[in-house]
This record gives sequence, structure tokens and C-alpha cells, in this order.
Amino acid sequence: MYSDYYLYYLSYLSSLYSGYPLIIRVTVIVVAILAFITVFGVIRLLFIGYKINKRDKRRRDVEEQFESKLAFVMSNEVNYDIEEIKNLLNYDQKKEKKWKSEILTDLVLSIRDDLNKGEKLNHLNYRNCLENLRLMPYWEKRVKIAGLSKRKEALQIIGSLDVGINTGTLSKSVFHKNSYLRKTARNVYTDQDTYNPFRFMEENFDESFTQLDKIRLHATLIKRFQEGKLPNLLRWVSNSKNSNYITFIIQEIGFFKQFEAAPSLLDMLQKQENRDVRIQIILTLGELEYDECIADLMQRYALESTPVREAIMKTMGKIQCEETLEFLVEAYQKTDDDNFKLSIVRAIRKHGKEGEARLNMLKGQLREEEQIIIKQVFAENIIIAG
Amino acid sequence: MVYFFTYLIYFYASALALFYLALMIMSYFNTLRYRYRYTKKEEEYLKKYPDEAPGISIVAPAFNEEVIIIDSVHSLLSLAYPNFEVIIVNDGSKDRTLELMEEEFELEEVPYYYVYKVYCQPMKRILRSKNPLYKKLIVVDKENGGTKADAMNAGVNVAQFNYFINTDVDCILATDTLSKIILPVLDSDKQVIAVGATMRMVNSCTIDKGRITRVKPPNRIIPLFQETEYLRSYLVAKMGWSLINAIPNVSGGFGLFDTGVVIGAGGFDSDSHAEDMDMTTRMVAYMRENRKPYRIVQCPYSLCWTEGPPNLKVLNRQRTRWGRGMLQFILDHRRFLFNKDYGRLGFVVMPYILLFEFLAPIIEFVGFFFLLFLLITSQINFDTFWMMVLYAYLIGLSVSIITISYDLVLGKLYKRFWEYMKLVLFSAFEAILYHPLVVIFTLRGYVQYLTRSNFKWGQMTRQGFSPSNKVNNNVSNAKEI
Repeated sequence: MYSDYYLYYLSYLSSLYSGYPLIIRVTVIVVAILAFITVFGVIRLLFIGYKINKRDKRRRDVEEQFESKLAFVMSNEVNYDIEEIKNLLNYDQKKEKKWKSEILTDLVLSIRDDLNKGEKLNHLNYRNCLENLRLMPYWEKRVKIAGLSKRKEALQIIGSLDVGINTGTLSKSVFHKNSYLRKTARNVYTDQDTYNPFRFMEENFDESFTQLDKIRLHATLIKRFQEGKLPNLLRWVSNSKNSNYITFIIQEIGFFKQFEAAPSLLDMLQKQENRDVRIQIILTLGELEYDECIADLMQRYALESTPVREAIMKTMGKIQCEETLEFLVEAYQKTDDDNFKLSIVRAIRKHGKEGEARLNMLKGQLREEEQIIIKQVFAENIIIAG
Repeated sequence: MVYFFTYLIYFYASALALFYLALMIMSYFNTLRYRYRYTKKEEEYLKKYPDEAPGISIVAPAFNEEVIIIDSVHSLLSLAYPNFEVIIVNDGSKDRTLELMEEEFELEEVPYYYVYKVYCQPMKRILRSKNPLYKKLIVVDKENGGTKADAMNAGVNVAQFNYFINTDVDCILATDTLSKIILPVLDSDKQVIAVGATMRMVNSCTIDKGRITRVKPPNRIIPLFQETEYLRSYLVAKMGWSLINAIPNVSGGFGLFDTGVVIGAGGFDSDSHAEDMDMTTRMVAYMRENRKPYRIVQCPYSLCWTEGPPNLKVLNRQRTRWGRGMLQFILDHRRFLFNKDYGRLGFVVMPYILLFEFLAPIIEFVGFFFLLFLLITSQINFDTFWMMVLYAYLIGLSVSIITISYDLVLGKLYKRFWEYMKLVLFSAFEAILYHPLVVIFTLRGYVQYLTRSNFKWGQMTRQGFSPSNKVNNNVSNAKEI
């Protein structure tokens, strides 16, 4: 509509620099582009600000309308059926905008988490609220059709809502080429599926397996363990070639105290070439307090690298018997590494009164500077006990 | 000759503009990717399963910090993370820094077998609290080393965890700092040797018991300019470089480092005036020399608030030191430049630092006066002169505005929207009021280094975090700013 004006000023600007060297005329164009970027930047900033304010206002409105009602239903000892909840909330998802479902999900989750802390959550009413607000269908639809980031968010929310999922919904995402989406979907699958939840655990979980995936899966396994549905984890180790995954599973064997796995782990230790896996096997044997591994560990000690030897020390400190105490004292006397000496003293200290007595004896034989190592470990205990 | 210089300066400015454009695009995609990968859910896992959260040591040196030390330590101890320790290194303070800590935190000397894994001035004693409330606190009392690097090394020697945070006691960290900064480490298939995050100015923020309760842009003009400057540096430059694993520097004010790699690389260099850039470069060199894959990551979120120079005098001290550090860095590490053994460090990071960080103040200074000379001698007319000035001006302004919008997208930290517009408004004056000073002070630093002038560690006027402290401004000497 004002194009004539713009063209006029543009031609005026170019006339000012006509006849100038090319470089100056290029600069004029670049300056015009930069001016445009600057103005565009300011407008964008104003728009973002407007969107944020609008989102906050919507959030406040939804909270005002639903927070007290939802908290009342979800904390009530009386079980309400869906019709009653519908009458109370007076909410019809089909007529509402989609942003309302998103804000309501946040609200429901925050109320649920608060009530969970005080163990006041009525699980049936919580499920009926979700049913009435039709939140699960909303997020399931998102998992199927949304773009990458929205899809991952939807998967995480489905996991948080924790009311089960039709795993058919996840079928595309569990094999997606984006590893973040794929791993999130596989984790939700393991967490929520009721038919074959450990399908991906048996298949190495995922080729890219990081420390963060370990934490996510650890949370899922704890949930499965609390439901009493955790199988023998060792079988997943034999199927895997990914050392990160094997290390994780062996660590979980120790965490869930699967004592029956100890002999097989000791066998595995003999054949294992990967250092990190060996370290984890040794630590898990300690967690399981498997005293039959002592002789093997003692034999191995002289031949292993420092990190493995440190793991052996820690395990000796966990198993705690006459044999391990003797071994540790001897190891202390033979080592020159100050950092390592500290680990050994800590392991000896874990042997209770006998350990303390041996440390006091040892202290008498040491140089004054070295006595500080033992004093330091005693002081650490005072602080922890304090 | 005149043409040669004209074109040199012109193409330099254009290359700089193109670089920033590329960094803005890279930063945009990297920020999107970061937000997609790490959500609140990931942070919750760490809080819910504390045994799985890797330990982090926070190392903060203190020299004559009696005004802020108590608030600062309380603030560090109250971070929301299940597994961390706070190591305060009292670097031979001459004021009541140590006494105040002893009283407030019920400290007592404990036996400690101190191993000098990296060089530092002798340690005198280690103190820990009798009160279990403060069991995460370790105070290292050492002889003054004169530099932050020396004090940091003393802290690194005590750090028991695989990662440590390098920060200052005048910095206030966001409550969720540790869970945010550790996520890229946990999620990488390569060893992450350092993680940086966005830093801002604490100057006008409201603070209660060592926690920021209201984030505001600084009221004073110099910290306000510096707020935008910091945002540009972290959200555009470092986020952009992070995409191709070529971050030149993890800030000395706040950064997460791999303890083993820092020790392997020899620790912080006490002789360096830019110990953070020096450390980052030596860590990268160490990894390259040992043929270990690595990553340095930038977290876009604002996790650390620091006191900015409140006046010209302090700004001068800060920037001359940075200038000295820059020149020293270039000379000390010239062997990496275009050295194929050092990969990206040799072919991307070092050339960038040399051409666009070290040479920038020289070319800007020469360029401006050269343009003026051309104008006075009528070799160019006014139209051309103003067009060139406008060109340089708009490069800076447009980058600043885009940066502020990136910051707002990441989360609205200021309560009111007009506070963002205040940053925009002052960005318009930055090139006129602030940037020329920065150029002059940096050049002064170069000259000081070349003439081996008497280098003094900067002094910082501490205002303190508590309102009562702000009344009595104290001077803490030899603070590196």
C-alpha cells in the first residue's frame, strides 16, 4: 500500500550513491539489510513479550478456575465417578482451545505431586480427573502427529501422568532416527507397557547409551521393582555387546540385590576384557557381599590397573572379614601412591572396631607425615557422624 | 596505500559481520537443540535419585572478602543438588574473612593429608564444620599466592569429585545451577571436559540470604552495557562455537571443569593474566596430545550473577588486565596456530582469537582515525563517512537486539518487559559511550604488557549482597576482575 513511498526513498538513497565505487554501493545495501534486521529484531522482541504475557494470563485464569476443584477431588477420600467430576469441573475439552489442555496437564501434575508428598492422593479420583479432562487422548494424539520437540515433550508428559499407554501409540517413535526421541519413547515403553515391558532392555536398549539414559532407566527399573515385576537382570547382559549398557545392568544387579547373580558375575570377571565392565563387576560383587570372590580378587590385585585396584579396595571394604582386613593392611604397606593409600585406609576403617585397631597399630609404625592419612580418615568419620 | 588500508578495514569489518551472522545462526540452532534435549524432567531425575547424581566440587577462592563471604558461602551451600561440596580457599586474607567463616560455620581444623597434585603456594590447614548442617563445607587456608589461579589450584588439590565448578565468592549461582550444568556431561558419548553457562550482572538484583529474589538489569550505566555485552558473548558467540566444539574460553567467573583433565594439563597458570582462556586451551591441547575425543559445551541458561565494574576506574582495571591476558595468551600459545596436530584449536579457535579478538581493538582504533583522516583530507565525503560509521554501528546494534530476544525466549528473568527494552535502548548507545572505552582500555593493556609495566591485580569495590552491607562499601584488594 505504501510501496510507492518505499520505492521513492530507495531510489533517493541509490541516487545519493550513484557513481560511487561498487564497494560503497554494496555497503549501502548491507546497511539497509542491517537496519531491517534491527527493526525486525525489535518487533520480534515485542511479539515474544506479548506472547509470554498472554501465556501467563492464560495460566492464571486456568488456575483460578480449576486449581481448588482439582485439589478437592484428588485429595478427597470419597471416590467420585466421572459424571460427578464432570459436573464439578464443568469442562468440555472438545469446545476448548488446545493450550488449555497443556496448562491443565501442568496443573494436574503439580497438584498430584504435592498430594503425593503428603500421601493424600486418591489415585482413582486422579485417574477420573484425567479421564474427564481427556488429557491422555490429547497427548497421545500429539505423540502421533506433532514435530520432534513437541513429540518428545508429549512422551515425557505421558510418562509423568503414569496411567499406562496404548503402546501402539509409541510404535513410530521407538524406532525413530532421532536418538533423543527414540530413547525417550523406549523408556516410556519400558515404564508403561504391561505386556512385554522389557522388550528393549533385552535388545541392548539403544545403540547410543549415555549416563543420562542410565539414570532414566534406573528410575524405570525402581518403579518396576516396587510393582514386584523385575526379572533377573543378568540375562540382559549376555545378549548385549555395548559395554556401557553391560556396566549399567551389572550396577543395577547390585542395587536390587540380586544375590543369585553373584556366581555368574565372578565367572564373567575371569573372561571380561573391558576394564570398565571389570570394575563394575568387582563393585557389584561387593554390593552383594559375595565373600567367595575374595580369593580371586586378591590374586587379581597385583596384575590390575589402578582404577580396578581401587574397585577391589572398595569391595574389600564392603565384604569385611578377617581375610580382607589382612589383605588391606598388607596392601597399604606395599603401596607408594598417597591417593591410593587413602582409599585403602578408608576400606580398613570400614571393618569396624577391628579395622580401627589395625589402623592404630599401623599408625605407630608410620612416619609422622603419613600418620595424617589415618588421622584424616578418622576425622572424616567424626564429621559424618556429627 | 590509502586504498589498501581502506579496503583492509572495510573487509575486516565485513568479515566480522559475517562471522557474527554465522554465529547467530549456529547459536539459534544450538539453543533450540539444547532446549529440546534437556528439560525439567531430566533435572528431576537427579533430585529424585541422588545416588545417581555425579558429585561436583565448587571451588571459590576468597581474598579479603569479609563483606560478602558469609552470604556467599550460605548461598553456595543452599544449592539444590544432592551431591556436592563447597571448597572455599582463603588465599591469605588480611581482613576478617577467615575469622567470620570460623564463627558463622563453627569451623575447626581437621587433619588432612594434602597432596600437591598441581602447584600452589603452601597450604596451612584445612577446616571443616562441627555442625552437620555445614558438612558440605571445606575451607582451605593457604598462604597468599597473589592470583586466583594459585588459589584455584589449592582448591583443585582438595576436590574429591570428578568435576568441579570454578567460580568466585562474589558470584551468586542460581539454585538449580548444578543440575543444569551437569546434564550435558551425563548425556555425551564423548568426554566433556568443560561446560560454560551464561553470566549476568548482579548489581541491581534483589538478594535475600544469598539468593536472588528479583532479577533486574543494572541501574548503573557501565554494568548495564556489560550485561548486554555478556549476553552477546555467551548466547551468541559461545553458543555458536559450541555447535562445532570450538569454544575458545570457558569463563573464569563460572564454569564446570573435569578435575582429572585440569590436573593432567598442569592446573591453572599463576603467571597468566587470562587464566581461564589459558586453562581451556591447555585442556584441549592435553586431550589432543593424548588422542582422546572431547567436548566443551555451553549451557545457554543464566546460572551465575557477578558484580560488574560500577565505574570507569574499575572498568579500566578489568579491561587492561583482559588486554594484557589476551596478548600474553597469543604469545604463549602461538605454537598451536595452524598446527595440524591440534585440529580445531589450531585452525579455528586460535585464528579466530588472533584475528577477531586480539586484532579487533587495534583495527577499530586505527580504522576510526584513518576514516577521520580521510574525511579531513577530503579523500572521502560526508555521505561515505557516515555510511561507514553507520555500517559498523548497525552490526553491533543488530547483534545485541537479536541476543536480547534469544535471552527472552530462554525464559523471562526480568519481571517487567520494559526492563528488556531498557537493554535494547542502551544497546543503541553502546557503540558511542561504552565500546570506545573498552577499545582504549584493551589497547592500554597491550601496551602495558609490551612495556612490562608494573602489573597490579585489579581492586574491586565490594558492595556486598545484604542491604546493610551496601551502606559500607569496602575495598577488597588484589581481587581479579
